[in-house]
Amino acid sequence: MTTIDQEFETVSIDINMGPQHPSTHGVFRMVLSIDGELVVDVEPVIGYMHRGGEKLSENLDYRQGIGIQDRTDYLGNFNCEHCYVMAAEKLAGIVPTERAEYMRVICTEMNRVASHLMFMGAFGTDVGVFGTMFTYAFRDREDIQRFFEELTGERIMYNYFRVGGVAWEPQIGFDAKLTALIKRLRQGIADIDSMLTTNEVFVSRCKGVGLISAEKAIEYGLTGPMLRASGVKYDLRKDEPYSIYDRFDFDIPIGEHGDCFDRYAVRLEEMRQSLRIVEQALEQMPKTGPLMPEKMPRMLRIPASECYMRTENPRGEYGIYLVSKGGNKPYRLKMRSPSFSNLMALREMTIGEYIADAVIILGSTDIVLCEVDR
Amino acid sequence: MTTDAAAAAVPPQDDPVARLFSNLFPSIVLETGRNGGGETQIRVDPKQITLLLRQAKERPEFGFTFLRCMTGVDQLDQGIELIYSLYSYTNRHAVHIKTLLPAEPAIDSITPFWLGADWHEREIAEMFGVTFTGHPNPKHLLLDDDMTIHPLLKAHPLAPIELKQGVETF
Repeated sequence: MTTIDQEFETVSIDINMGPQHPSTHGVFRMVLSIDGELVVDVEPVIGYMHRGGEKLSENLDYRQGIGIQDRTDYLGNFNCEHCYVMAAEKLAGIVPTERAEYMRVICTEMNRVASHLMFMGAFGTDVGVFGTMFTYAFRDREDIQRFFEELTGERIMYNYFRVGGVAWEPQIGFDAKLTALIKRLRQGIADIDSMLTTNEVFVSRCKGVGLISAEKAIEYGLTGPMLRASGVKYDLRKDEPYSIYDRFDFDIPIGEHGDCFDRYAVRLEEMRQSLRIVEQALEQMPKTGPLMPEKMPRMLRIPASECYMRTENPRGEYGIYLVSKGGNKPYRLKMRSPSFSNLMALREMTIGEYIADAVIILGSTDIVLCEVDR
Repeated sequence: MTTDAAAAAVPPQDDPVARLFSNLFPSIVLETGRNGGGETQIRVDPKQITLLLRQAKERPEFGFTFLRCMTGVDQLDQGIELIYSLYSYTNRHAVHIKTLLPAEPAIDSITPFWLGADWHEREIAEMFGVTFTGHPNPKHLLLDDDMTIHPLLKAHPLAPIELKQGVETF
């Protein structure tokens, strides 16, 4: 083998990827500086989806504001609604009813499974297992979506949670339908597992790509599966239990290396754990009982106070900083979205990788641009 | 001086996290208490914010390595209030650090030693018109580059800009 000892003059060129690129998962632009095949710098450009959700929330009352939460993260709608109603309940001193708590947990955990299925489909496509993964993942996600449509009347923008409980009774045959759905989903997850986890192409493209260490992950404020893939065992459902999560038995999967494969593996296992929680919730849930507290005011007014409420969303820690100055509207409502912080670390993960892997790394962060821009 | 009417003032000796801060920074910590969610909040002098946050991040007894949230609140006449919400994975405690910036709001950036603050600071800068001195990349984040409005200020109306153009200047 001969080596070329001649020095080549190379220049780095800038490539614009997005905002209308099929694999940027929404309207997102990254300006990649590349030297040959290697990425030397990347600048994420966001804001294309900024709709002023925080400003709008300040001008809507606590009942109307739930609709904004649906539009924050369109894959984890129930999770966002949950955070919002819990923040309002905390400041108003309202205790949700027992049965509503179980309904909320079932909804949020099924939503997590639906969201991770979306990730599996999209990530499979990013990596190059085009079509197959997407159809399998969407077959199962569609089942959940149909179940939610029966429950709430909407496919995506559910608007089902209320301050104090949930809006209405579940559909007829809720228990049986959910049990059958869980059984189908378990099979679906096993299908995905057998198709991807040992797939030669998939593994070789994901292992060791997009590394981020635990220290760096914490420094950037990563949360959720991104943080756990780097080996930090932290899940709000276990470490700062909210709602009724302390009543369930489930495990927190963590990764070792913090690469794209670990992020995939963590999410895959999380789906199984979510189904475990749903099964337990269904078993423990009282069969009858009110879904809303008896005495709810017609117009909710919250005394002057403030709190920070957080939930474990599919993408990580979703937080709401709610400031009330009295009255029926929030004075200030800050949404701390997990994708926002997760995307901040994209630069750290992408520099030094091949340009072909940039798409995989972006895919593995599982961003929702609606939630980044709010 | 307090802006939260309902926040319960708790003396620092009753709260382990507040005690940590008031022991190390007696002149910077102005007030300690709990917010409506029962979490520790402290009010600090904005001039010393970088010193305080750097120590909170680096000293093991604090261990606040996770900047979970950072936000601003328009407190009208009193100025812009910034809230840094921190969490410690090692010590499992949380704190909200608040500081009030009067007119011409400006504060030292913490991005040089805390990478996770980068986008949060850029967002607050454009939304509230706060200047973060020493920020390495003080460009607009969510808004268009040539926009000079600060939408989250209470003075900014909730109306399409097109309707207001020519009527008022922002």
